[in-house]
Amino acid sequence: MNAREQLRLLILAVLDRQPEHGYAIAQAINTRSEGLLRAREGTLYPALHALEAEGLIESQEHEVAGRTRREYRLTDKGRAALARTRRDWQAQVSAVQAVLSGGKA
Amino acid sequence: MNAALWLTRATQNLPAGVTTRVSRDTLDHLHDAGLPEHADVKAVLGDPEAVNADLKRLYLTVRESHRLGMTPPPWQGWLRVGALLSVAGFLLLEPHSPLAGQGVWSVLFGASVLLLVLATARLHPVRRDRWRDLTLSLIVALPLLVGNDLLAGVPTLPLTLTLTLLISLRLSTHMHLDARIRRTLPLETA
Repeated sequence: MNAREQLRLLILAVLDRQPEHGYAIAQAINTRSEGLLRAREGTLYPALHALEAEGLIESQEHEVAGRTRREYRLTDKGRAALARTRRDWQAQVSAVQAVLSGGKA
Repeated sequence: MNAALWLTRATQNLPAGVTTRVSRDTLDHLHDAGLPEHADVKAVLGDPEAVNADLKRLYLTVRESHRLGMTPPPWQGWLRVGALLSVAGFLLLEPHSPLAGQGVWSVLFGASVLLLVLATARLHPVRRDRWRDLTLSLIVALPLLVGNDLLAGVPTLPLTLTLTLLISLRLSTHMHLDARIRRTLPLETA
């Protein structure tokens, strides 16, 4: 899984909990990974746009405290894609772990 | 690098609707992060050229949008018709021509098939027409690529592989372009 695919997975995982706006997604990735993973905010939006174009997430603008905010939420298609990608990721992690532990995992 | 300069570089050569959406998203983000627009934003937002490249993979450029809005010149249509007639002519004449089966015949025939495939490189901007043209090319080219004895005399494997590769590339390019058009249009018409 390359960096772009990893960012897509992280975005979907964050949105699985609740709808969020862009900044909150970046913060959630940073916080949940204890600062280890940090989405470059510039690359976050192209990734959000691509996910939205594929129908995996959808966005809606809301008026909050006089400002228009765009909130992203996971679609059913996105939830299914997340489940699939999670399984693939777990399989990869297990495989790497098995090699690292010398086949005693 | 302040926000305005970063956005200018990140949205370079992108159409107005896309630029507006990206600018709004980014400025909202900076506002949420408590970062003033005149501050150096590169450390937070990353390399604007890399973002620009990402965005161009997703959306049409200004030049592409402009080109798609133009009617293609008539010679492109005639080139396709000419190539198609030439392939059809070779097929019809093959049983009667004394040259059939000889090297020169095969080379000319292969060249006309190649011209037909290349002529579809300039396809219509309208999706329905693009698919029609591609389908037509595939219908004509595929039977010729799989074991037609007209190609006797020329090494068929390299020709077959080249033509298959060309067709696959055209198909892939146009599917990618199609996805970019579908992403760009809603932002431009919003």
